Amino acid sequence: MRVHIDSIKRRKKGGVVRKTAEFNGDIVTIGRGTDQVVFIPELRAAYDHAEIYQARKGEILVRSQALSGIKLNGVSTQKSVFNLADCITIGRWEIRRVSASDDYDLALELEKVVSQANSDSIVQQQIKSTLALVGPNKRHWSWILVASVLIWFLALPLLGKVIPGLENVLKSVPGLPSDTVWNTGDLSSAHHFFRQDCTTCHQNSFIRVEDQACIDCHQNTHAHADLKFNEVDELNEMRCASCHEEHNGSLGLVMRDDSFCADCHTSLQQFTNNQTRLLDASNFGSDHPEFRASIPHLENGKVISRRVSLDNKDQLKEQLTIYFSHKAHLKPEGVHQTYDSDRQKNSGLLDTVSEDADRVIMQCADCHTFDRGQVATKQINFEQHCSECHRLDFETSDKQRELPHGDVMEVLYYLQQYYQNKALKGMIEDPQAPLVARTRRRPGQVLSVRQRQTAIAWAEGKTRDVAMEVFQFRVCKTCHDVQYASNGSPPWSIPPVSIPEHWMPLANFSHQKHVTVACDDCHQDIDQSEDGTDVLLPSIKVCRDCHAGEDDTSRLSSNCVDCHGFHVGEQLLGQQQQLKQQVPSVNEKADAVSNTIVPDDSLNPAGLEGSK
Amino acid sequence: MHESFFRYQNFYWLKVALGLCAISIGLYAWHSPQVVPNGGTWLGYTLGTIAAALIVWLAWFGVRKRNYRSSSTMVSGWLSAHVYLGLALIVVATLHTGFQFDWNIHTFAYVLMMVVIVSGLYGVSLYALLPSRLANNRKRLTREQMLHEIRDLDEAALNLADQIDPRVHDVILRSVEKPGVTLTFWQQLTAGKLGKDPLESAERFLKGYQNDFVDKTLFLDAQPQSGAQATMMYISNVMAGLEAEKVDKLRALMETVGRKKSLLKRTRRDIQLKALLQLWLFFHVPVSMALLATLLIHIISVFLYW
Amino acid sequence: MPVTDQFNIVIVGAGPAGLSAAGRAAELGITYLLLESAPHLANTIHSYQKGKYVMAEPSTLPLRSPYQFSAGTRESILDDWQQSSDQLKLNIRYSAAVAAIEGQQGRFIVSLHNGEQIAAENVVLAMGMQGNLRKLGTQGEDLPFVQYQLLDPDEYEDETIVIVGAGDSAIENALALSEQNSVYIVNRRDEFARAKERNIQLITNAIEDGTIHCFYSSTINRVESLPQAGTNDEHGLLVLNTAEGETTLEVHRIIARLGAIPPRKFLEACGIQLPSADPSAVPAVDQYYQSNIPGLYVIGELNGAPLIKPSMNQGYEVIHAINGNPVDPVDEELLWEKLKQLSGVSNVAQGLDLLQQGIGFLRSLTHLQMREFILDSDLVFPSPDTVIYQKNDYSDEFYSVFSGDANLLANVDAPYQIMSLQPSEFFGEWSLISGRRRAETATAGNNCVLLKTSRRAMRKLMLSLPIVQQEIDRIVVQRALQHFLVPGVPPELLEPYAERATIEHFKLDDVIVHAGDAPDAFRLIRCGSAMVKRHLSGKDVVVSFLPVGSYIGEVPLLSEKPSRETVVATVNTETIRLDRDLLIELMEQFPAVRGRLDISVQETLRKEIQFTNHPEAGDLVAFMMDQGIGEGTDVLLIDESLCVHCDNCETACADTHGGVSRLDREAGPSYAYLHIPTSCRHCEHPHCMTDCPPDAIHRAPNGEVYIEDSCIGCGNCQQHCPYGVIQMGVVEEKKNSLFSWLLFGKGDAPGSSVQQSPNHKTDDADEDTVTTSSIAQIKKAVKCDMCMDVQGGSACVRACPTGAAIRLAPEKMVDLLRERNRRAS
Repeated sequence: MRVHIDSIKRRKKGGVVRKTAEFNGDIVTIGRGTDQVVFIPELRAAYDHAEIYQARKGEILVRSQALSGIKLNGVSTQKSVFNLADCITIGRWEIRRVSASDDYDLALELEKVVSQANSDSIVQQQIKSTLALVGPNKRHWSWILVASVLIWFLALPLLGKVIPGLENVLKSVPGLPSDTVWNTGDLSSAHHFFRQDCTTCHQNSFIRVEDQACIDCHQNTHAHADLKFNEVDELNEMRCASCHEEHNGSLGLVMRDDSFCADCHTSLQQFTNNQTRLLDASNFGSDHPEFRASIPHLENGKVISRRVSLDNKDQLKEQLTIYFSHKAHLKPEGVHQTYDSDRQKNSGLLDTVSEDADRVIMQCADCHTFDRGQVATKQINFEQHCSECHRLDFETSDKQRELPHGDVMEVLYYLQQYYQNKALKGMIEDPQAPLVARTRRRPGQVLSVRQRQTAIAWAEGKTRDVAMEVFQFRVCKTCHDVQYASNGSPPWSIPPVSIPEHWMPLANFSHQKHVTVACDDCHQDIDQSEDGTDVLLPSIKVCRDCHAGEDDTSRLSSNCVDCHGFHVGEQLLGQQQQLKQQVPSVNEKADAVSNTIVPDDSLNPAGLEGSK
Repeated sequence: MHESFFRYQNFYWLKVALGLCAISIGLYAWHSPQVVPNGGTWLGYTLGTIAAALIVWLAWFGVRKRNYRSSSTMVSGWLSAHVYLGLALIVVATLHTGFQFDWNIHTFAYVLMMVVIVSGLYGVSLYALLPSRLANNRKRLTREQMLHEIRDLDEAALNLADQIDPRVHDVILRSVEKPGVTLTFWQQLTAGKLGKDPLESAERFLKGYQNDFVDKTLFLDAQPQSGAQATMMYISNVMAGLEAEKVDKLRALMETVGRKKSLLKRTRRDIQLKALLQLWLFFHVPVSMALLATLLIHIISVFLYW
Repeated sequence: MPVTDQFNIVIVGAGPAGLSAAGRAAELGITYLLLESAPHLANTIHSYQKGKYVMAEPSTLPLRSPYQFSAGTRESILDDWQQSSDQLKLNIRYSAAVAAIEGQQGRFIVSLHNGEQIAAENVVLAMGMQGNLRKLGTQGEDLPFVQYQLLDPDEYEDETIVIVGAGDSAIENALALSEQNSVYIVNRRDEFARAKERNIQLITNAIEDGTIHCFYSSTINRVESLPQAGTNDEHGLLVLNTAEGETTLEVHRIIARLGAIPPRKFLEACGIQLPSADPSAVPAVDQYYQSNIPGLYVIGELNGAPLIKPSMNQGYEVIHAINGNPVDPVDEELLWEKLKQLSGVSNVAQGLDLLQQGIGFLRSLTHLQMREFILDSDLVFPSPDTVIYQKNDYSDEFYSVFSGDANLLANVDAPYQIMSLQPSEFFGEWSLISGRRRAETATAGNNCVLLKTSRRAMRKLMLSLPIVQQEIDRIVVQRALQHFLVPGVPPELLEPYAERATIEHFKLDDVIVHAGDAPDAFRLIRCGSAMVKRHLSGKDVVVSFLPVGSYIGEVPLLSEKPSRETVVATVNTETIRLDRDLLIELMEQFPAVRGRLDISVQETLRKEIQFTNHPEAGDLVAFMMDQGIGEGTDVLLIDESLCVHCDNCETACADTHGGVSRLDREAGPSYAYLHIPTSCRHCEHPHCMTDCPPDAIHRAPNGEVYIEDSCIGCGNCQQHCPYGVIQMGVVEEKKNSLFSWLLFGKGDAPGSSVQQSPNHKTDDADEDTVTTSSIAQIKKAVKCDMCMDVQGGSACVRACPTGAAIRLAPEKMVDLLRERNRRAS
């Protein structure tokens, strides 16, 4: 092949000098040997370093004869195709293939490259080489990381809140970030329903969760105390969330520690500017007043209960009760079951009961039973608890017959019917009765008007006598303090009886939890009580035998919330919220006081003594 | 006199850091939160604020370091503080979490922070260990001197090789052409692999070459029998051209190659050590930046959903 | 040869001074001839590097010359002068090197190298200090293709060039040319010995791989020019005497770098007396620049006016002087400004006289010297008790009392050592000599008038006037004795002893005391420093380091035993020597001396024990001394066991100093984990100050040696610095803010600058853009100034994150060693 070889020299001041040579032959040899076609006077070239030749297909190839190989376009190789504009580097020399004019098969450019010549530059590079030069660029990486973090954890969730629909996508597709990545901790199980939906509670950005958010669901929750009634700033500022901390998993939804209650209840008066009658209490063990029983009494016809401290002995009497002796009923040998009203007239109660008579030993539970929650006692009623022993018979000749219990008029009517009926039928055996009442009729015999009048007149009298006896001397009188007024109709009246189901309605004491304890462990000396007015509740001292404040370690530590509820206010929280908005004025407060005196004021501690 | 940043002003910052930890732990122990300790209690907010401030301040080191005109304290003092307060951050931040961890941005921020601190710890340990190694490896040569010497050795080797035998020259040339010191990221860190280095093979070749030359004398009178012997004969014939003074040249060449090899090793080691001193920063710095961003999100999100 | 021409004035040297003289002569129509050895004008400036910016200092001084001169590039100035010369039709003869000058006023014979002789009534020597380039001295040495300088190697390509010489310049030229030409180098010897290490290595490599051919132990036989030489082919023939015999070479060009003949020799040959043997001493001339030989005038650099402008003025003035109508020197007003402050002085001459009468050591000054001296000095009128300088200040001015009095407090807490100085006495000489901090505090007395002279002017004077030198030495010895040996004794009492003390000079590595020498002398180091070595277990171990003010040989003297150690000067060192009996007399006379010596003996022994316990510490000292720490006053030291190679120090330096780092951390030697980077040591006698034309290098009160903006970038200091810490750079302040770079990589990275080659990058500076705007700016000499303008002290030290870098004064070195010993044990 015919090869055109240009050796090039560049002038420092620009300009190029070409020395042109021509070669005819198959193989262009390159090397340090003087016999080489392309002569490279440098130790970094072997004598015969490389060859350029034409393959059959006509393409030009270059082959290295030296182990060190050649650099083709900077890549060292042993053999390769030598295309146009390719450049072979040997030591400091470059051999470039340039486009050849028609009459040449191949054109080469040979040049000693000065820049490479001073390998100092390379050395310099190596001297100053730091990882920073080849390593990743810190700045770029920082930006990339920062950007991705911002996009992933801030931008996307925010967009989700702005762009409708996007949020659902984010939340439905697993792995995508939504505002749930901001969740600071698991919700309490009660709120798991909306754990995905932060805005249920966090309704406004950068504003702490507002009570309204809670009330939306908890509509029927009562306020703690009536704000209308005593405007307590602490209560005003109090947020639901200040007691009910979320995002702590199962923990902390309800707050138990006394200190929280104590904040106000150590000096409640000043908090409520002397509106309350509640006594301060901060710790059950050390700082809690004696219990106060709510005792019902009659006030201008209404039954009203009043709280009396258990250690206030002279006040502590039941008023609307009956003649009743726990002692008599709880005799260890038991009580005689069938009780003869005749004998009762001239004798004491049960001491005359004959030995052989059958006896019953009574238990507390025979009368005192509880609702299922075991908090309130069931109402004691005659039919259920007394009638078995205490029979209401009135006619010796007819002992099976008993009077109805309850209404006086009904009793009278019953007696009237009874005796009129008997008299008209003429079945009276009483010799003092008129004949017509004593002679038994033949069937179909019709009495004359006179006869009839006589019989009824007698029956009236008889009724009056029996009623007198029953009410005033025997049956009713056994338990009830029956009043007689000759002018009254009916002349007898029975004062109302009210035995409370809740003695202490502000606390919820559960007998259920105390089943392991015998009744009289707490209700002491019951069997000594002969008077129905005795209030036989255990004092706080008794409780303290086992229970102490939350800090106590030796006994059962009990928090306020163990007995007392928090949300026991008059209104619902909702109303209270509105109240919070418009602060009540003074006179509003004033009539607020009067308004709140209600029949059973137990629920309204504020009203209590005010109604005395 | 010389005072390492570890013992700057007699461990001043170490003391400060320990103090900070002690106070935080003390408060944490004394503090009885409403429910459980977490970032939401007053202590949580306090520790959180401190930690956040610390992080930002620690990141500021990058700026201070480059603010050469600042007449404030020595940078070594800043580094000392950077290290010790950085470690104190572990305590403060952990207490801030109240040990509540979860799959959320907040724990992510915490993790990032720990990553940064750990990487820093690694860096500090390097700062403590490598300098003396670096110095020992250099044996009072600067890298420049090493490299120049290598280059001169190359030239010398080529020169000698050229006077011995084209094949030797060829082998040496290869070892010379292959740059002994390469500067790719990986090679800087691993100090290259001397195993498949042409230098090695060149050395082997020269050894063989020399042995052959020695053997030659043995084989001259032996009859060429087995193939092996035949090849040996061949080689020895090749050797025939080798005159005595070439032996010296050969020895000189081998010595040169040997020196280059050891020098090369040292240079690579030097580059490697310096690279190691920088490597950790490629991690430490970007992650710190990411931490700053995450910290921002952490704070925003907490108050966005307050 | 017959005398060809006859001139009124022959001016030798067409430099600034010569030109201006010739020009003036031409203007005045005096017959004159200007001889220039080079083939062109102003050879020195001509040989500056291309485009170099030439300053016109001192700016205050007006120019008085037919030639224009203002700061500008080399080219503009040369063209300018060429034009003016043409306009003046200057009578100049190029390539005419003067061989000798004989005769006296009226009939001088100036003979040239080519043997020609010229008669002249007056001769003006203005050939500067560079001297005549040495020529081949063979046939054909002046052929056009034979040159003695190489300005731009790139000018020549594809030529066959022969370099003659084996010095650095020869080697550098050869290497530079070899890139584009085939180069031969002719070396008289069989090896390259005279050149720098690196150069020798480079040239030998080049010769080995054949890029340059060398004729060893060969000399030039002759040079011939080839007839019918075309443009591109060789036009010269070089005949060499090689070891093998005669060799001929066809060459394009011969470049002979054979150094220059120092003018001193020539001056002496002309019979001009030079005051001292010091090479930099200049001939004494009168106020009209006339030397001790009437009619023979010396102007320009030759009489110590290194700057262009003053030289030109002298050229102008000298012509007038010769012409008989002398003009007031141009510096008249400047002097008057200074002198008019003196009471009762009506004109300069009177003022000068007054001063010369008033200040003893000035009496011996020539008129010219006096003028120059006063130009470099200032009169100060301090009110009583003002402090002129504080003890331990680093100021180095020299004060002479003109009237009133001044007080020296050698030691503030020992007030009895007050010494009161009377008119014509002087002070500040200690710092002048030792280059160290002030040894005493000086305060002004009543109606005190002082003449304050710069260190440079003072040293120059001392060199040119030995009498001054002696006078000052006398006082130095007196006060040194008083200060270091006999505290509190009035100097006059010491005078008789001081008389007998002698001053010795030692060069680097000179042995001051040999082990085993009889204890015959006691020495006090007054400048420089020394190492004490002891031969232990087969090797010399450094056992102590003696800075300025230390004693040498007190131990042997007191113990009456021969010295066990060898004391070696670690830099050029001067000692005050007291012979044995003289010291003994002193001790008898003043018991205090004994006490002083005993203390010092104990101290010395303690030190030596310490060193002997830690021989490595000794080696360290030796090492540091080798690095010239001995003459340093503040050195940057890097603890390699702490340095993480972050180069923050360099970046800090560059950033605080206009992008040019004045230290190279990587470079420089290390020993036992102690690395001394290439950075200024602030030597006690800064080498860089030796020859600074604009006197731009000074020492600040805190000791920093710094370069003022008046630097003209001549590069002298760079060459003079033995530690290579000065470089020429373009200083330019950074404009972009740190953050724009830190966050977005915008603008320059801290510390980056036009100086940095692209592959020199600080960490992170990956994509910093090199601003090419200011490439054109003039390069000036830059060096460490210990961040005197930066608040908070040295940036390099403050920027070091690991605390590896510290700055250390040699006197503190002992502490460093103590610390390292502690670490070691």
